[in-house]
Amino acid sequence: MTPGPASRRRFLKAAGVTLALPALESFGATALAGKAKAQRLVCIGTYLGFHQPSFFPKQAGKDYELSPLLKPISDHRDQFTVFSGLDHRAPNGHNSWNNYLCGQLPDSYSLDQQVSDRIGQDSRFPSLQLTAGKASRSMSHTKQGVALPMIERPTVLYSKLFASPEDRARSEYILRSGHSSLDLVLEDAKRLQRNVSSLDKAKLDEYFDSLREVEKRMSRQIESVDDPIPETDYPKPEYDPIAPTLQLEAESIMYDLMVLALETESTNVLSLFIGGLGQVFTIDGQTLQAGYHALSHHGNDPDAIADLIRVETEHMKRFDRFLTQLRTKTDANGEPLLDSTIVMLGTGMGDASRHANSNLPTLVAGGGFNHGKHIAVDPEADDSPLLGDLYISLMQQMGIEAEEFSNAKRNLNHLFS
Amino acid sequence: MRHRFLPVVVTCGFITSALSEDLPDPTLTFIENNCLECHDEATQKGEINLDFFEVDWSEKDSIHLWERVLNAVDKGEMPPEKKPRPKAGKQQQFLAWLDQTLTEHTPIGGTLARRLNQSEYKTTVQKLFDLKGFQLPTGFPADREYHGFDNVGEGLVLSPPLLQAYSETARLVADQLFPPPIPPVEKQSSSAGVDELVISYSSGKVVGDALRLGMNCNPIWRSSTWPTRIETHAAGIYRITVELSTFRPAPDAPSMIAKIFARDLSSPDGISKKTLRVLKEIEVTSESPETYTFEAALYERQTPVIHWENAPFCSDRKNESHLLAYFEKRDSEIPGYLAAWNEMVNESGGRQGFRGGVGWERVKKKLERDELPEISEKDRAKFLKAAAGNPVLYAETVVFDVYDNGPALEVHGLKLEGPLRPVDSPEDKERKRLQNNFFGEDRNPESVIRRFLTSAFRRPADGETVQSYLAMHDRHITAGHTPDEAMHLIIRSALISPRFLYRSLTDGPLDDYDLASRLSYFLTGAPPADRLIEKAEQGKLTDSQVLYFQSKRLLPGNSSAPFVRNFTGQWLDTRILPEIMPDPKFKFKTKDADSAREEVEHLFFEILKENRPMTDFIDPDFAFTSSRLAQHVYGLKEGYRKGGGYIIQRIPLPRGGRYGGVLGNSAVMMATANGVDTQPVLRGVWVLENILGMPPPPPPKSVPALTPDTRGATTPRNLLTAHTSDENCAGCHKRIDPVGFVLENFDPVGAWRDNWPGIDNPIDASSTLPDGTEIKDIVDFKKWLVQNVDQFSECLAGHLMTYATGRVPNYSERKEIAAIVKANHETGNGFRDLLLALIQSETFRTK
Repeated sequence: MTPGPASRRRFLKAAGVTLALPALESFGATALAGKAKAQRLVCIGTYLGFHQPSFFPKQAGKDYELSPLLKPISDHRDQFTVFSGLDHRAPNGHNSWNNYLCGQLPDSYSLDQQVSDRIGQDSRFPSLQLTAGKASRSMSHTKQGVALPMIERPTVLYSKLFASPEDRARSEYILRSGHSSLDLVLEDAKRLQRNVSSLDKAKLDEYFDSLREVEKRMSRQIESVDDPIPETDYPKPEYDPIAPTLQLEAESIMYDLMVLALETESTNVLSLFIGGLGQVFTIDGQTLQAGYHALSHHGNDPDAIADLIRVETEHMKRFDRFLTQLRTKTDANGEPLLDSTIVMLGTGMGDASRHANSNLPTLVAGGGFNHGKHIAVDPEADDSPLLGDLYISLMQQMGIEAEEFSNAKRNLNHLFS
Repeated sequence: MRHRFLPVVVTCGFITSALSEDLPDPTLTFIENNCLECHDEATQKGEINLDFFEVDWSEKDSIHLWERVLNAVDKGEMPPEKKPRPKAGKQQQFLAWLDQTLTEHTPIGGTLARRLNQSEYKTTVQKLFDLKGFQLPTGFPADREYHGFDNVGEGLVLSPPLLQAYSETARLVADQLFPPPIPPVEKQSSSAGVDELVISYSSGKVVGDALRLGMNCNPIWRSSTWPTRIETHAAGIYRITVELSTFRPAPDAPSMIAKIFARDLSSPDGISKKTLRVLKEIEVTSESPETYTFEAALYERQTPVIHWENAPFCSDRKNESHLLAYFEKRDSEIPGYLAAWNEMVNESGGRQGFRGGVGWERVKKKLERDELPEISEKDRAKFLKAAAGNPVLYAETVVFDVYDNGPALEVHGLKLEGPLRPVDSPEDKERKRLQNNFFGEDRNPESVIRRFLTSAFRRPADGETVQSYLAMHDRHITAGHTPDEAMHLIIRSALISPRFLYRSLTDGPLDDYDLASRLSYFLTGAPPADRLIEKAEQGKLTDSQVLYFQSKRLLPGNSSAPFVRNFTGQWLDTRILPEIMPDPKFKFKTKDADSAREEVEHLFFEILKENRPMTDFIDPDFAFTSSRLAQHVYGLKEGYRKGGGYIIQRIPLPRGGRYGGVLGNSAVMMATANGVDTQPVLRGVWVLENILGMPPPPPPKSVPALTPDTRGATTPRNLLTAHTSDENCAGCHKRIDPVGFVLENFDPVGAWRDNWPGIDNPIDASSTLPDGTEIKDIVDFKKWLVQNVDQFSECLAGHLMTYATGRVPNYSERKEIAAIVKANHETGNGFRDLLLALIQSETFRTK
């Protein structure tokens, strides 16, 4: 079923029935000012980064020659910008991987959450955090610095997006019974309030105000409980490809479900962690000679690098399919989803072989930017821009009046033009 | 000419109410003669206006203003030096009047209803249901600090999102006891072929129709395999079939033992086999595949793991003997074996690119050459040493020799059928335990509800409340829901009741139950447990003797107990360390910061446990530190146990030194700086607030912040002279700056420095304290603090009281605290004694 633009919001609203805690912030949400060029943000981070010489093109500017790892996405050349020389000046090592979205101080308020808190609050899911492979590091962090758990099982994500009748019946029961018990709690609280001092009476008013708000919210949810929820032809996965050797399979399914999540307007903010531990991949029927993590410690050995690039090429092929889908599927206005979706592919690790977190391979696609270039930044230059400056541009593209991100206080708007 | 304006409290901006009292004539005269030249309505120097005929003492701002007046006059700070002194008799009379008036208007007590803060809420839920592992859901709203603590009534506001989070969390808790019904699971029958088995690192290799396993080590991802696409959907007995064979077993070795474990597919792949449940041990003796079928219990979302239990080859990080023995053995069997390895590793440039099968393929090529390479004794020793230094790396490559040449255990496939019949999973057993706790002996709904509400509300639930919950319970069942669902609803309701969420609701002296709660949350961070509630039920807790023994019993038992950690973290601000990122030049890691925080916790706990004198907070003859910080921050060459990294040890310390105590440690110096540079003013304010107990008023609005200009060879000291030369600033900065500058020798992570960074000027830490004492450095300052330790003790006691009662002590309460400190000083000045005496105070025992 393909709803028209008008029915689309209502069609999707239903769902609020399963209350994700982060959604609670919506009580104080800031509305998006005006119509921004980009409405959605997808951040993909690979744990082991990319082999830099195979990722960064040799030439800067528009006429660069595609690097080996960019070849799989050559169809989208005019839809993305590749950056070199950017990072957050963060500490090195696997432990600081989450500098990718958090900035110079790992574990701080991550880009996707900053965006979600500003523009994600009216969605069914203000944001979703996913992983293909074991989530060996954190990626998204709340304003308070709390690492958000990632969904590892595609079936769990699927059930979240397309609730089963049983799930919905349970949610409705919880809502209706919870609502009925509020009367009891309210009466009891009133009895209590009669016997406290005048100062405490005023203090307990906070409680009564909150209870009224919660009651209103529950009533709204009960009203919308019969609204239709998104449906899909995409079959529910029969098993979860969470065994280490199936990571690439997990990656493919997660990308498919991400497209569905965006298409059904279930969320506007997604992050996907792409793991990298000891798993030994079988590619095109051939089992590699070493595990992914061992390959990343290639020590410039050509055989190891060749195998590493085979794995990374597989990531890029899946990324290519994701971009293709985002260009084929359309938003409520009939425009390609990619045009209003910022997709960032990056990492918190610049060179896994040395555990160095500088010069982070970064690529931005879609989102209404002028693409097609390799923007090479000289990190040695005085006053050279930071990765955070790019993030400021991304936020501004989404209509957020961002002035700073972590240690960055400028933007890269001029480089996109 | 001064005008006496209408009595208006200008700072508050409204006209005094009917509650105002006239100031007596002697007071008016004293003020007129000594204060109004600068502090009249028109001048208001330092934003202080004393131009009133009458005062409304019910206004907090009036109390604060007149307390400042009392302190300033009493300490001789006002009138300022250059003005004439008031007559002694008149001053005495004025101060006595002011003291009496302030005491009269600050009755003891007045804590606002205190909502449980995050950590109290979590612990309370844990204790109430005996849910040991309960954690707050991600995204649970954070608390606000108020007067430096996160458990003060005023700061603990309740907002709609927070109540929504309580409601949602209540549901999660209720689900633990009474989960939603699970739809029946169909029987499954799944098989995994050889290409559907996990390989990770160098854990296995597929050769022909078998996956060969060759290693025995604890993390299963380095040694074992399991099916990639099979997991159970429900707990039950399953029929498991594995097809196994041996590959070139060593002739004299015992039979191969395959061990089958159960694992959750969601658990980390690097999990140790030691933590896994053994399903079966199988003796494998045939070189041709044989099937082994057995029945075993698997719980929901589990899968079998296959491991060769007695493989001779091992890749443990800490055990390189297998590896070296293997090299020696192979070298004796194959001429040139080690030489080929040595060449291969050398050609890789000493780097790790040969990891995995890559390296073994290269060794094989070398061994296939006609001329076998030679290796000198020296190179041989060097090679074996390198291998011993990184056994994991070498084993990951050598094991490919094992896969080619054996001995190896071969896995051909696995099949899983079931569940044949259900079993209780650990979750089922845990749920039954939780339910039994909840229901207790007498399962009559009314008794269950009464008992539950009484523990949830921390005092006996009254009849009316119990009846209303019971009525809801009965209605729910009448409406067609199950008794379990009705209890689910009872839990969800009680956990959002204000009787659960708030404590301290009854005015006046605390009754037994409120006293039990205050004492318990103060000393244990948890709701009162049975023994304390028992005393409350008997009405005995309000007895001073009983209270004393119960307090003593509840004192923390270790340095990471909630009281020690939460109190020191907030009193000394060491809780903020994780948010500070020291400049890379300090080479200070996250673990260093954790270790620094632990030092302070150990110090506090030791002084409390051993009832050591209050002066030990300032200048103890011991310290707690780790060898890492001792060396890296404190620059100690000896006097501690080397090695041990971050393990905290107690070391002796000569008294009268730079380090030691709450003012000479890394954590506090880090918390009072910003990770990059130090700001003497910020540290000065911190010392006034947290060590001396004389918090300065907020900076006047009219004064712009000083922007340090570091151009030229000027020191921070020169830059800040403006503070003491400008009269507007001097009042406060005469107090702030000396105690800030005296800490300048400590860099942003607490290491000693003699020069100001960047400008190579020696640090001048000397100062004149407000009482005229000249000090030249931290050592002098600590000496002064030891001599005036009661001031510090009153400060610490005030902070403890704020933490315990959830309110900032008022004038009368501080007087009571001061009297307790003084009495305690006369009887040994022990910290534990002081704490126990504070609990006996009227201040502690009043709402």
